[in-house]
Amino acid sequence: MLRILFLKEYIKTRWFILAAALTLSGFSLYMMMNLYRIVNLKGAMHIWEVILQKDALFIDLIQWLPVIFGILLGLFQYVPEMHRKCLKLTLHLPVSYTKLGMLMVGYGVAALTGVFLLSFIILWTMMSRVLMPEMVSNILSHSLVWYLAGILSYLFTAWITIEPTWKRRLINIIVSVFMLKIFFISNVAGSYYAFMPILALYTIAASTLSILSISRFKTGVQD
Amino acid sequence: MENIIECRNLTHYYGKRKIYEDLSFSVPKGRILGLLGKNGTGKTTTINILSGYLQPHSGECLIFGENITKMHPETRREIGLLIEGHVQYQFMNIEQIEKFYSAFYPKWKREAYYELMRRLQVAPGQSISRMSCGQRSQVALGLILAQDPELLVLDDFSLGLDPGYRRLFVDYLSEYAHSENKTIFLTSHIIQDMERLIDECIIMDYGRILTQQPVNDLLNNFRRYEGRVADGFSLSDKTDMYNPSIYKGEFEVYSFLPEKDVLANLDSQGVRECYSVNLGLEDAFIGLTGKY
Repeated sequence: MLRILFLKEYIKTRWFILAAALTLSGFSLYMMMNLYRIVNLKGAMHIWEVILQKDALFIDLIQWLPVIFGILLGLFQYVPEMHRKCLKLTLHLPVSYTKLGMLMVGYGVAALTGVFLLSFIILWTMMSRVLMPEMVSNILSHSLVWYLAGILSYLFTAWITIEPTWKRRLINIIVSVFMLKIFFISNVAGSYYAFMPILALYTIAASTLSILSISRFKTGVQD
Repeated sequence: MENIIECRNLTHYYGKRKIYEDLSFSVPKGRILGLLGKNGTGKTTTINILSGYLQPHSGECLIFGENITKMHPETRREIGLLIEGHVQYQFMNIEQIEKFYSAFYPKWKREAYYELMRRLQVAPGQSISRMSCGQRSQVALGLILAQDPELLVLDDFSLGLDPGYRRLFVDYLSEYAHSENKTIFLTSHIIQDMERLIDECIIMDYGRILTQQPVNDLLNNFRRYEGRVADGFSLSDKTDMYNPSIYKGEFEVYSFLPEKDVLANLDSQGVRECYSVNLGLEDAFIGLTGKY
């Protein structure tokens, strides 16, 4: 059953996931090629100096991509369910609606994690060749905040899309924007160290939001 | 006889607008029951409550003895649901959708689905999004037949279908329900289709049920009476008379009362050349609910 439910989600999202993986990996490669070019021109010492003195991350170009991909994956996965209330078909399956909701969200989180992991591995492998391990760790741990924001944006999109009323949808959008803003307050490497567990908990808690919308959909709440 | 559906004292409002109050009805096993009503009388509301997608303001609905709002997910295996407009997963093709649903239903009858698909002469890889409404209706019907549920709940099954597809749908469904002793609860805005299919009907007006009875009883007992009347005529005794109207001196009224009694009553009130007319389901519906 798990396999077949995932198959449904896969059919809806496969091309998007492929495009997202290629784009994010492409951007990651592009940034690393840029880094290599500077190393070739000015030497690795110059890069280290810029990183230490100016708190440069060299991977800022991708900071918004996880959020954008999170939102798009949510739309690709849930808009077809809401089109002509197709979600009724899913919720009519002989499986509890909380389980169905969590499985759908689980698929999305797993798919996004895969896409982000690919980009993370590219950054880590290529950075490690020219930067000190501490610098790599600092920069990449900061990128984790962006990836986490990507997953959270996906969870919020699911929550917003399944919500049956426009009034509540608008409130959900406003809440989501403010919540996501927390992930982009600082762009200084290491600034989120202490805060990361809270952000992670926050994201885990958000995974149940779509169940709230499903429950409202089930009771037939209307504008 | 065992009731498959039992709705008790359903009351529902959209905002402050009352849809109906204290609506009660039941559907016995093996019956095909059609819910008829004008637009806005609450047919889709009733289907939504029955399929668990609307919490009624008060009252309860039991299917297979279980309250629909607390129904065990496994029980849904025995309920085939057709959503208005033959909605199905547009992102799947006809092979994928069969594979998807078959995983959830142990009694799945793959052949029943593919028999209908062969009629459509479509390739297994044909996407549902590229199908016409008529073709989609056959996919939806094929999936329900393959699921082989004990109860079918069909919301406006004729919506968007041309006469050929409507006839195909009705004939398939009728044959299936009668041969397998299935229970069907359905709505449609095309009453001629219902007449070919249903055993029993509920006719709703705004906020209430006008009648629930076997179609044959309704058609045998409910008649239209026509006659001529003078200018300024009005029916003084309207007991058990439905929707009397006069147009250019032609009078008509509907009633369940015995033909002899009605004719005598109308004659005594001044209706001349009065005679009764046997009705089809659509005329009976109009007779009970009025033209507007």
